[in-house]
Amino acid sequence: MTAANGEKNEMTDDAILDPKVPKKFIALVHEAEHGSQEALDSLTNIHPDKMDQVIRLSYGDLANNVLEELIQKKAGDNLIYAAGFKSQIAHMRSELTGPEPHLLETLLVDRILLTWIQAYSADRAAINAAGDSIKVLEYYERRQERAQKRFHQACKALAQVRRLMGPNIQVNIGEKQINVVDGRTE
Amino acid sequence: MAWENRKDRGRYYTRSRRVGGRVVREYFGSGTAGEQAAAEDRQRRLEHDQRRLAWKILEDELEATDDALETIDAICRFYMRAVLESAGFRQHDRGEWRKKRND
Repeated sequence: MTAANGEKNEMTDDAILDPKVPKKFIALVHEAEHGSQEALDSLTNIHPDKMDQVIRLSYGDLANNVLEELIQKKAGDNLIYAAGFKSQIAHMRSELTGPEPHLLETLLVDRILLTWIQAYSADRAAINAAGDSIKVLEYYERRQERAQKRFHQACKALAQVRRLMGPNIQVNIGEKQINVVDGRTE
Repeated sequence: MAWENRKDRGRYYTRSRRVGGRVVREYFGSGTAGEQAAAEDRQRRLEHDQRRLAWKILEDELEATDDALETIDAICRFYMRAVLESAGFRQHDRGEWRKKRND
């Protein structure tokens, strides 16, 4: 199993706190999604106790960076608008996740918010592009469609998880059992 | 769009453009009209290049955000699968998730 840079991509327990972990983990996820059984095996071999940590490390920075980027694009130099928008996002996040959500819910809610901002920006860009060439308009329309699709998929995933798991999420990863009752982790 | 040299008539400026599928060449001569047409074309090319560059930068930025979102999607898909499978669910034919039967 090799990453794009030729580096060996193994996720051993000892290496879990290595700062390169997010990069390796992300490379493995992409490779597994493109059919690499070896990558999938490496991911499956991550110790269950470490899984949440790896997910938090890999997802957290990436999601925050994308959020900052999207807000910056939307607000430009207007810091008041940016602060207001961040507070709106924080409010929406807490409304959607509820108190003490399971990590999976946090991830899926974040994904909804990111895709929502992207879909909104794509709509605005398409409106602003009116009057440009057909080629430009088509490009923005394609972006709009992709963003909408991504947003719907994100909403569907959260709905699916909540429908399946209900308010009492019980997760047995390895030997560790985590119960989430009405949003509270026990 | 170029300056051309003719033996008998000296240097003069021409501009080619497509009209109804055919290439039409306009002749501006070597005097003020030629200089003015050349300056206009230079300016137009410059603006075109600037628009292309701005578009390319914007496109690259948008693609980078798309790539990052695709990675976020991939992590979510992977973790969702891990959590649901550990809770006893199985995905049926890449579609619906169902509770695994205890045989």
